[in-house]
Amino acid sequence: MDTNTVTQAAQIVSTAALAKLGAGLAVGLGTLGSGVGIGVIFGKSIESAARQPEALPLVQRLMFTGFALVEAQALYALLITFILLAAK
Amino acid sequence: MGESHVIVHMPIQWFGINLSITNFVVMLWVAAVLTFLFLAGAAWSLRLTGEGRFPNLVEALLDFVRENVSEAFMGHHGAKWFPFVACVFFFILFGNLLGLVPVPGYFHAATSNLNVTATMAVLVFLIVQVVAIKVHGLKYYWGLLFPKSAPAWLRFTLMPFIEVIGIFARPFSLAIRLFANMTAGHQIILVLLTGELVGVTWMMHQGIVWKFLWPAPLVGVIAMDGFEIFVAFIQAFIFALLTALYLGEALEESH
Repeated sequence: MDTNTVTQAAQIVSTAALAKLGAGLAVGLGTLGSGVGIGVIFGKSIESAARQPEALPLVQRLMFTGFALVEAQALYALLITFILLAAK
Repeated sequence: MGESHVIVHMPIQWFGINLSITNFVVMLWVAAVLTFLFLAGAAWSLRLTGEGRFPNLVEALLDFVRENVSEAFMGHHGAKWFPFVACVFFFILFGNLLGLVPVPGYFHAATSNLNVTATMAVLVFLIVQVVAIKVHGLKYYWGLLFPKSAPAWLRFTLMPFIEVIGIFARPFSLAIRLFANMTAGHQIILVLLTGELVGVTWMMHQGIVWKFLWPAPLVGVIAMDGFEIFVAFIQAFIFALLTALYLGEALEESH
């Protein structure tokens, strides 16, 4: 009996099933960090806009910039999910 | 994920490189023609009559790009590089927006293809490197790979590897960010519609509450469509912003 756990697991379920499991894990864990990041960005933006309403245009611009950059991180994980879903 | 939606019009092979005319190539051409008509049309209409609603719209968008992207990130070089940044912004904007036109099976966002976004990212990467070499000479790489701001024991041992990864992570992240944003919204809409197709017959056979819930996924599709318009604008803005940022970094100090 070989000691590699992945090969042992692949003898019970197929690699396609393992790939789909990995795909689910990938996108689930990936959106965690992005969710925290978006929450922090928008929370700080709202707080700073409430403290100084004249800064709202600047804050809004930086907020959308930060949002797109953080959202991209979750989408990197989604890309891996697409790659894994296509495995057989 | 489904099968690929690439429709080949005219297969062209050039020394082993596949240069076929596919529907994505046609989408790229449509995006380029739309960009040209949008910008040049506004200038032409402004020349004919000194005012108008369409030149006003184009000028508003161009001012937005100039103020928030060019001048914010490139300082006084912004005026010289603004046409390039504006072209990148409008081309990617039209490339993104064309994916929202509901012609089934043919129209896709040109930027929902990794090849297209990778080409744009490599283009930006090469332009930044060439500009940096023209401004600073080859010692630009010395200052980049062995930064003075690092402590001496790291500067020649670990920093080069970290900086090389950083240099190459930029075009990767540019390409993948744009591609994944465009593909993800499309996929969510497809999943919702497929679920609706499969589930509506089941819902119709359930109790009275389920019989009224069948439009729910369609409301989700409408909401995702609106969100995709927003994402199209944001992603074009972000790509142009990062282009201006990298160019500004390459151009700064001693020019």
